[in-house]
Amino acid sequence: MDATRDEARGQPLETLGTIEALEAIEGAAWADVFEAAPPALRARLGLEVERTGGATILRAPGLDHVLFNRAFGLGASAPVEDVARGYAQAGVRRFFVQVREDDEPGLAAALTRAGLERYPRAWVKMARGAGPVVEAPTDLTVVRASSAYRAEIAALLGEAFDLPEEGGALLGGLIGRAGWHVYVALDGARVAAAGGLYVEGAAANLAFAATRPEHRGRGAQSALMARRLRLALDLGCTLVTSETGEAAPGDPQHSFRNMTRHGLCPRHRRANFAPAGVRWGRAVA
Amino acid sequence: MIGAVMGPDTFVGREAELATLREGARAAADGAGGVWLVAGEPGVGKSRLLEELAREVGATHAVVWGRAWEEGGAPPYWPWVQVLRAAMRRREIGEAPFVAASRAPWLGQLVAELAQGAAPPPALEPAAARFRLLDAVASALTEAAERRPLLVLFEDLHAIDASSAELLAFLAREIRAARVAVVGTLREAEARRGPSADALARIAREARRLTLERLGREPVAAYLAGALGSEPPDTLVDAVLATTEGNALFLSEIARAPNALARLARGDGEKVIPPSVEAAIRERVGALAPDTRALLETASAFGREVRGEALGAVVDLDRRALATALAEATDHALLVEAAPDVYRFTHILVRDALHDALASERRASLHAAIAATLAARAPAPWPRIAQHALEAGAAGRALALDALERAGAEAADALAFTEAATHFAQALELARADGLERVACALCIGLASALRHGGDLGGARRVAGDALDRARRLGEPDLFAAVVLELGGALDVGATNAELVALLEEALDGLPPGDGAPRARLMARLAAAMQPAIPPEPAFEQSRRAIAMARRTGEPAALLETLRTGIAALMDLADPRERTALNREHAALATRMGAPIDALLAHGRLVFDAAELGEPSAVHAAIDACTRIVDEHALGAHRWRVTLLRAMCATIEGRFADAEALADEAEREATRASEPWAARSVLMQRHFRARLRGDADRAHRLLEPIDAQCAGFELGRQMTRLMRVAALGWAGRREAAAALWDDALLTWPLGIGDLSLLELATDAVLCLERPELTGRVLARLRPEAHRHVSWGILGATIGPPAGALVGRLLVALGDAREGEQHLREAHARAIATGCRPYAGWIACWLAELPDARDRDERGAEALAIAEALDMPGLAARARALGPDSAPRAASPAVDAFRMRREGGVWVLERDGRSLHLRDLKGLHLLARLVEARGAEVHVLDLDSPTGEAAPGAGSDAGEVLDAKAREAYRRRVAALREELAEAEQWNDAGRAERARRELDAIAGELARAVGLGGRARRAKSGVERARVNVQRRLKDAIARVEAQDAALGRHLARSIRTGTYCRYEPE
Repeated sequence: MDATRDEARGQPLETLGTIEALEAIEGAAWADVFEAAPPALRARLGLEVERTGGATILRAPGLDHVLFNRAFGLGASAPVEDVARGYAQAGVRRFFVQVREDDEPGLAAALTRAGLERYPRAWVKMARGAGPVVEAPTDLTVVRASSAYRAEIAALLGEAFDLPEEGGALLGGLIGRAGWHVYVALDGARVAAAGGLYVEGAAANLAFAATRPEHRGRGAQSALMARRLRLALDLGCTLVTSETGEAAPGDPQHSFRNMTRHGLCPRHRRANFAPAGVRWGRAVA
Repeated sequence: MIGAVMGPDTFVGREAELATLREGARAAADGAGGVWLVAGEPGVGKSRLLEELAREVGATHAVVWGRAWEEGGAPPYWPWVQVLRAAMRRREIGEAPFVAASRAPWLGQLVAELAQGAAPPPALEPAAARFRLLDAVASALTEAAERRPLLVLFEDLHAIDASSAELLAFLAREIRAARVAVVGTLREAEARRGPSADALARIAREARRLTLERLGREPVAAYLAGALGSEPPDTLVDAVLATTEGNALFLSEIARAPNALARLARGDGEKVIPPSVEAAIRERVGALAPDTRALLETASAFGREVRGEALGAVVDLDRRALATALAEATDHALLVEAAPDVYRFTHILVRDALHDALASERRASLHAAIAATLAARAPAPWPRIAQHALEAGAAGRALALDALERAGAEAADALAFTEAATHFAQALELARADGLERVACALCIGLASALRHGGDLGGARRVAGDALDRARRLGEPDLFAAVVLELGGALDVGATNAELVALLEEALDGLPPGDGAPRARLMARLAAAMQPAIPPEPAFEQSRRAIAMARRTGEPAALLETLRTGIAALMDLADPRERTALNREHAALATRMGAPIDALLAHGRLVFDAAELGEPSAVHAAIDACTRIVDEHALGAHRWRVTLLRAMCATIEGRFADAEALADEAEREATRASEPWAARSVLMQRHFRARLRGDADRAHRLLEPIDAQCAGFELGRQMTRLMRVAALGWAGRREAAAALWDDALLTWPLGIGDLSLLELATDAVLCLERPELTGRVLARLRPEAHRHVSWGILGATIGPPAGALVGRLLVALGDAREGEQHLREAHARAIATGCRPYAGWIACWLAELPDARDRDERGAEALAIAEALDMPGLAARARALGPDSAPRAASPAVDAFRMRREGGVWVLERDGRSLHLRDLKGLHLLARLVEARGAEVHVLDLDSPTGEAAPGAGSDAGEVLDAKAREAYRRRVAALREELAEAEQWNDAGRAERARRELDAIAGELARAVGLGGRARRAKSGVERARVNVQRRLKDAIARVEAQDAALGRHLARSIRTGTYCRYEPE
């Protein structure tokens, strides 16, 4: 990573918490996503969260999508074979084991033994401190989502992440839940984009965001990010994290650019390992 | 498990209503816009229905919201401000419809950002300015909807301010063929009691209505299923239904109150019946963090809606605590972020429950803090500041008074007179209670002005009257003068206001001596207030002095106002030449000062000046100027006046159908502009038109509504009674006229010398056959014989040349010779000014003279005009005159009449008899008409050997006079008029007579060359030549037939109609 200091935000990156802290807030957010599901739904989807040390292992055998079936924050000595076995035992065929770039050499052999392959695209962990938030003009109206938008947001996220039906509903159901702050960008009465922020103590995670294809290019994501960052700062957060796909030649990753514009800097690269043939998105029957 | 309640995002029980509204929105997208009102009790689900509609049509429509401010204190037009801002920000619409040069100045009065860079709105009278504002909003929205169908959603219309309601009522009429749908919620009982009840009732008449009833069992069960995530047991549904009685808000509150719902779910027989929705809300709020409770209490003092930033300035929470509390309040569905950083209670009952629960001291201190915070802003929202300051009690009193006065002034500037009056009245109450006399007096002026501009003249007078006493006690002449001028702000029509006259005189006495703008204004207003007066001359003098003084002050604004008011004292009584000069000065000054309404008024007055002077080209020039002003300044509210003036011209030119159509149009335009004066003018014009045509029944029928329109002032009552007598006289109903007559009816006509009243008096006295009265009317009219009768804008009518009235009166008094002379001159004048209907009537009167020299010719002329212009009354009278035009004995039935030509002879056959006539062109024409029985044949077709018009036959021979010659004539006319005026002034009868003769000659020549519109008249056209030829030939042919077969000849004479179009129409 070439950026070592976020001078514009006035805070040296190295002071932005440990690797564990960066991973922990993400783990807390996703653990709460699973916790938020109504018990009947949780049981039906087989939702499980395992958090040991700095690691978070999400298992959702009823939700066949890597977003809900992934393990991260494992550390260099993580028992990745056990993790993979756990997914197999739960009946999960498609999952990600997300390994920090620095940890990868040590884990390479175990990952191979577990039958996992490197997924073509890596993720990047982003973080920023409590520096000022830049303005992000848009012709859309950004407001805190009320429950009236729940179904629309669920559909939007489901479509954007190519989630099974319950996946979108799980995220939409976070509206009004303690710790969660979901915002929408409205085009008139219609939800054009949505984004969620999870706050716990002084740390926050920009957990998810998506825009309808027809509303892209209107500044929705930038505005949603600015709005969530402002709230995080108002709530006293000193660390805001997020994750996004790595930019690649020919695929500039707008999300990455948005984040850097708002002061989020890459902290570390995450390689994704998955069983052979696994791809992002819903399973194709 | 109850803990899994997910919140009220389930939409139940309103599918039918939603379908109706969806269909309405779809129809609007197809260009059939409209307004829907959704009524129902609080909490029944009106807003939820709109939200669902917005979501459903959001992909196809631009959806914009406007919300009334239920707690009072919102600026005028607040819901519209929201709507306009939202529409402008829609990408599919953009700003173009709103920043158009013709609209931005007006819309900028509502949406401040639109005023930036836009020209200031032109100075218009309040009614016109208000119309422009309403029109700008309506046209901007309909244009915006051309880009994307527009769905405008209003919440809580029962609380809407009066100005906003007026705008909605206006829009409702404008969008019937636009791609705009408006849906508004309201609570009917409150709507009926609210400040906008009248406007809402009008909106309701234009709108379609849906009434939401409480939810039944099935929707309640569905709602619970959605909230719980599983099918609820029957016992729970029954218990919830019994508890909530199907009120949607109550249902959602119960569903959010876990304890209550848990107890209900247990079905253990324990009934959980919260005493009210308010109690359920308080229970829910009670469970929140203390900071959140404090935030909600503070927010409740702001009202239904509050900016987070303003809330933060008042509530005692740091940034983090504020953000946390806002998040908790929104997550618990007590607040919703309606717009960025704008938080809104999810229901007004939520806000009210919290506000009502505040201890009075806490409530007062919160409102005081809010008022102070808002007052520190720029621009300060004065109506809201006033509201909060009032709620703060004694501590906020001074601020409340100041804020109310500023709010009143702002509202008046924004043309929201109802709101302005409300603010001033509240301020006045405070000032009175605190004994602030001077402040109270100034507030009275503001209040009276707002009431007057809002149409409440009685209220305005009462308030200004109250201010008078205060101003007198204070002993401040300028203040007293200001009050008096406000008291006289509305011009009285047809009645001298003795009280106002006395006050104006008192105000004048109080001012320091010498010239001054206030004095000039007071003098001019005094002159107008003195009229109508018998005699009128003192008021004329007063007006002249006022105008002269205003000129001396060198203050254009004072001169403009003085001319406007002062000339009112001269219309329509003083010499039209003097009025013309003044009105031209007024028009020029108004144009220079950018005061289009004054310019319009001046040119409108010039129309009647020119009409009285018999100058048709000047009449049209003035009307054209009015049209330009209306067009250039988009003065839609005044368009009806111009249209009615055009109807007036059409009438005197005999284009009655055109005139009626124009009057209809004027009526529509006046209705659109809510112009109350228009109805009277339109009615009166219709009456006089009907009378001129000789349609006595219609003229009579129109008198009743005219009576109603004129009953409010003494001169109006006298005038309408005189109109009745005159109409009866015109119809020859002498006994009925006599029964209605009272000699006192001549008081005003004779006293003020108004030509229109004298015209009525003439008809009346001629019918009554009262020589002594006839003589008095004659004496008053005689000096005015050179003028035309004019009714001013009151009747929007030009009458006959006054000489015709003089002639008839003279004849009635036995002086047939001089009477005939006057009639002939009037006839020439009518012809010269293009007033064919009057020419027809005067021709008829000439033909009716005992020993008339040219009875047949005049009678034929009258009949020809009557038939050509469709004047049944004149036609009947002309036919009674003689062989060519008189009603002849009924012709025998002529059946199976045929014509054929045998070589050089025509054979006419009827009833077994044959008639042989030598071939004549006229018989060819006759045969063609007989063949086309009942059909109209154009003279050019009839005159053509082939039956088709020859190429170029309709063309003309060019202008009769060239421009140079016309200009020379005009210059000579102007010189002669001056000469005539001078001669009359010096009683030089001979010189005056010479000037008159030359003037008449030139007038005749000019009239031949110049049409009424001042457009050069073309030399006799091909059509006209053909018409004359055809008429002559047919007449000749019929005469030859009659010589051999009188019955057939009479039959043809009655059955052949000539003119531009001819036809054979057997009776």
